Amino acid sequence: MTETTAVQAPPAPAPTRRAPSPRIASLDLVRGVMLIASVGVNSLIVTPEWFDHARWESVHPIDVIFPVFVTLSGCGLAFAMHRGVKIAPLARRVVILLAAGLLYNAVVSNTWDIGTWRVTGVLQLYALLVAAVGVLHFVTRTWVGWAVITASLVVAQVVLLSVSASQCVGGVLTRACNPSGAVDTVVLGAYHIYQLGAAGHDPEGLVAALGALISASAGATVGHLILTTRRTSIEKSRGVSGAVLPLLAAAAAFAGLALLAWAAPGWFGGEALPAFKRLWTAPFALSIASATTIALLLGHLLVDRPSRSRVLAVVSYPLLALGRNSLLVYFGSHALMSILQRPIDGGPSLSARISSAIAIGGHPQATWTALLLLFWIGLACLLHRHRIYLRP
Amino acid sequence: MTRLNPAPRPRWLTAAAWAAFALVLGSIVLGGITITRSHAADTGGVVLAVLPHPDDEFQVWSMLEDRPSDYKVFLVMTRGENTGSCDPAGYAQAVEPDEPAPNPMPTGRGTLECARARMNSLLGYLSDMSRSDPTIPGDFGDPIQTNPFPAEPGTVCRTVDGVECAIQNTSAEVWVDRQNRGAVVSFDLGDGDLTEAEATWAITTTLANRAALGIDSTSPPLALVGAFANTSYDCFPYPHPDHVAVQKALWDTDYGAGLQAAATCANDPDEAFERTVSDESVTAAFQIGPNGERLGAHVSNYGWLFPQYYQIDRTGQNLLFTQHQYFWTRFNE
Repeated sequence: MTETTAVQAPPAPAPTRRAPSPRIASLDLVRGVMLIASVGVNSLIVTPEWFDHARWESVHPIDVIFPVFVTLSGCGLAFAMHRGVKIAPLARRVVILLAAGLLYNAVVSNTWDIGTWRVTGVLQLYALLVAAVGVLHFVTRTWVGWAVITASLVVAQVVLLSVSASQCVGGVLTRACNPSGAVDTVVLGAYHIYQLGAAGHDPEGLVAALGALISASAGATVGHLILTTRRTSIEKSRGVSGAVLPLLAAAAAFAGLALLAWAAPGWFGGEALPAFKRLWTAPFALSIASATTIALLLGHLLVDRPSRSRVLAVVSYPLLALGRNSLLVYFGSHALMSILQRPIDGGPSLSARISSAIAIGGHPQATWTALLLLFWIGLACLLHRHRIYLRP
Repeated sequence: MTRLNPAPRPRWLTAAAWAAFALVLGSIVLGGITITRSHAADTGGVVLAVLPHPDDEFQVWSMLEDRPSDYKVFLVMTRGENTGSCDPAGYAQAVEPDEPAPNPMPTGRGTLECARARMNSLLGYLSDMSRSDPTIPGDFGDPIQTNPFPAEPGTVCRTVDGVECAIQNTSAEVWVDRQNRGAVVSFDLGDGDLTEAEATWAITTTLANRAALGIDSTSPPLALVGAFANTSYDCFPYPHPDHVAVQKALWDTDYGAGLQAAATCANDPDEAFERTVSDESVTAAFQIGPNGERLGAHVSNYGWLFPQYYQIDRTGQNLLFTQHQYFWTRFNE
């Protein structure tokens, strides 16, 4: 046994306090742009079929909005949780979101029957994602760790969907044969899922939630990557340009992984896994994540610089205000429109009546959309001015 | 509010957290697969093979074989009564010593005997195939003759000897498998003058009248799969109007019955997926003995319809019957 010399350990350094870092505004900016699109889409009195949600294996413009929101939420959660997770606020947030989702379903469907109360929905899905991303922050708080989580979720979903597809006629996932129809019905009950189970799947059910978690974790990966590049940039005094290569690489990696997820089942005798929203497939989630990462990079280069021009500050203010209250505007505009779009006494809805009454230049839709955008932007700006933000 | 930098976590805790993540994710996937498989086995479904004639089944066999939970319905639009092999001269050319004779012996094209012989060949083929693949219906009793089903005037119309609408037969003949594996539903819509409207009517009528037809009326429809046709692409040319009518019926109308597909060429731009018939089924259908004996179900039962016997292309698409089968899909987007 070798003899060792006892060395007195140096005193532990006192915990250092960091000056608060400036808020990463690019996330708010991109959220703001997404919310403009969301409010605009929600304002449609008549939605053309090509624009409305695809019935199954396809992606229509409206299918893109919520996944972008989820990806950005993953990024936001990474910002919020990169130094640690507080259990109690997280649990409270999840419970409030779940309760709000159940209430929202009752209001939208205009029924309070427990036997047919839909338990799934966008708010519930969001609650599940917040809980999952929160819990997974106990596993890792680095971008590398989140990249591994994202890749693992992709593998898991591709295995689940392709093995399930092998049970279907021709190995093709259809509305009549897919894992959501089985899993969501068995776990939640047909009367508590989308269209009382008649649609054969639930776009916000448990199977879709796995795909949504891919979006959220891809967003969290980007969030941690932005934080890391910012830290490095501050240390090396490089400015925001230090994020260009890492974020471009992340976007390329998501696109590459989407291609792999699409093709991989074919290598094992199955069919390629298409990108579509109804089951929130990995190729779909990753394609959205790739595009969102590019948008975040552009936003980062634009508004996260140490100094912003006055013009840019003025132009970006409404978008940043919307982004700061993204939960309120996103879900609020959905809830408001679902009420306004309801037919009154079998006749036209309130939105149709109002838009006809106020139409400027014979354009009821354009007037109505502009009015709603003004309302939500105005409300968001007012709340931002008073620093009031909805964070359940 | 500023936060303190958290202390580094012990490595074993990080490893345990990752292990827990892997365990939970693995359990979710395994649970999902188990539920899906069990659900599929419990509920099953109905698959309709939409065929112009009673000998087209193998063109979609990859979609039918070895699927125990599916109830398979062979929806045959015509009885194939206009084949040249029912003509005594044609028959003499087509039949070979090793081939079983048709039953009953046809006396001419367009005759009742010819139609019966064609349908009996189909029943014999399915019966033989069900021996090697027990999921195929092949244990048939006497047929059920249904009452006429409603049809818009002029929809179902057979032209006979140049006389338009000489026959308007809207009833069906049904053979139900006694082991509840499926059925053969046979309409008499005219061999050689099948139209898209007639094929559409037959599909709609079958889906809407499953109880009246005596077939499974409780399981959900899973798929409609149409026989092969090719008018445009670089593979076996098959512009048969009856086949084209079936393909158009499946292309143009959404029946809301699950997967809607039809066999096509690999280089068809609309080709969506490929399936391969198992070697066992190919052998069971097309096996020829060392001395030319017709051992396979297809070559044996349908041998009298073709000079020598029908052959299969095991690698490409240069013949009507192929081991690798390609399909387009519709209304799944």
